Amino acid sequence: MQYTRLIFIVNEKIFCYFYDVSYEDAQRANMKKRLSTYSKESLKLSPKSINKVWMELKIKGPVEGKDRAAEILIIAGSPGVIDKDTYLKGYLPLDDSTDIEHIKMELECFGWGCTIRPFEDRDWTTRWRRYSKPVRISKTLMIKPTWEEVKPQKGQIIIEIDPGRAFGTGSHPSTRVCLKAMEVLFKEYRPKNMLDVGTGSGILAIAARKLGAEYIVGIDTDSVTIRVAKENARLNRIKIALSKRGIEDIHGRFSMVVANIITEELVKIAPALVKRISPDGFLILSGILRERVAEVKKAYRTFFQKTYRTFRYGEWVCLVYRASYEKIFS
Amino acid sequence: MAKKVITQIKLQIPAGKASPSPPVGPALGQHGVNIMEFCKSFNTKTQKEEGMIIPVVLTVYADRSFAFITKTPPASILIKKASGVEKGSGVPNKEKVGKITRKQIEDIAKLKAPDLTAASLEAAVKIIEGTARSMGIAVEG
Repeated sequence: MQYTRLIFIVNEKIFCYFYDVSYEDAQRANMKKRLSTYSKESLKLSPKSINKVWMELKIKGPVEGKDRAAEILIIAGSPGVIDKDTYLKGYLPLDDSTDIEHIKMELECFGWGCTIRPFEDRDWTTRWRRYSKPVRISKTLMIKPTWEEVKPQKGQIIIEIDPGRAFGTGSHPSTRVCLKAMEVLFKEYRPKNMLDVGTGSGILAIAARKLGAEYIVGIDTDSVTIRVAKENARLNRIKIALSKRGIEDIHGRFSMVVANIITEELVKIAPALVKRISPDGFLILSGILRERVAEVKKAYRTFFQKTYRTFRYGEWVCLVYRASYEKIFS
Repeated sequence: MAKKVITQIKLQIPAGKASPSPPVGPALGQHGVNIMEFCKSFNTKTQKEEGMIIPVVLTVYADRSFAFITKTPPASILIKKASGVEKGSGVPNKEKVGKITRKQIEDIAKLKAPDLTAASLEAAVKIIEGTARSMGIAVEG
């Protein structure tokens, strides 16, 4: 079999098509029909487009040959493969250097079949950024990625965080609602120090500093996120004491203790969290879905008679407890 | 923090060679994942394993932050190393290009056990054996 690449230009759009020149006449007659259905999902490239075109190979076969199939594609020049469990996808340059026939033959040897379609690549080095936009928490508080230009208004606090290897970019409702709660409490009570449990990207700790806290401790059990949080603190030109440790290793008391973590953890570490609140301090719990509020409240009933405030954002809830209202068991 | 997973992406990438071209670019980019950050982290983590192909499982969270773990290299590459064969056979059922011992197969199965979906070591050995056969490498012993 010999494959030929055809490129059609119709109405300023380029259509790529691979076809086997050794096809029978009857099959050739079908080509026109196939091309019309193919074109719809095919590339709609502008003639001026500088985007590179690749061959996308979708390959399928017995599971024990999967790694070998992936290796064949990578050796042939695919920069990697996607493993979709039932099939693999690889990408080869659409030029004469690719001996697609040979690759197909190699794959067929151990029962792997292959379908090919053209694939228009885009410049993803910056294109992924289009999904991250500035997040306005309130009139005065805004979170934005570094590449977005925003002219700060008078009194506005801007925090810069890029999405990366730690949770907390500001776009998730549990982060937003927690920031909102923090802002309200800072305005009313000006807490002096803050403990951020499960700091992630460090977003809440950074916000606390910018909202007026003087001393901030951020902890996380994941060393990668601690590195990320340190970078983010530097980026925002502020100092936070960040370290990899659990709540049990923390001493001292804080006028604001914040935990935006999964519900199971909020329940599990309840006694340890409560111990770290100063006598007039606040505890902010976030990361709770509406249907799980009761579960969290039950775990904290031993320490507090009632919640001090409740904040909501969509289906996410943030609970605030106040120590001075209650008796703290230590 | 309150992580909510939106998707998991499984990839195989040559060690130290992640780049924004396909498949990494489009697969991560469409979820708004910081591609350059991933490439930088992956390449730093795997640069010592040059020549290997590294399977990666990437988890994307609801706020576009991500985490990834790298796994053991594919069986075919480990088999080639163990048997000293450079390239698998083009016609594995007819032409054998090398040999591997049962002990070597078992060692590979043990190394890869955490990453295989096999229920037991015997099942893992079977998968590795199948891979060896598909490469035209005879299993001895």
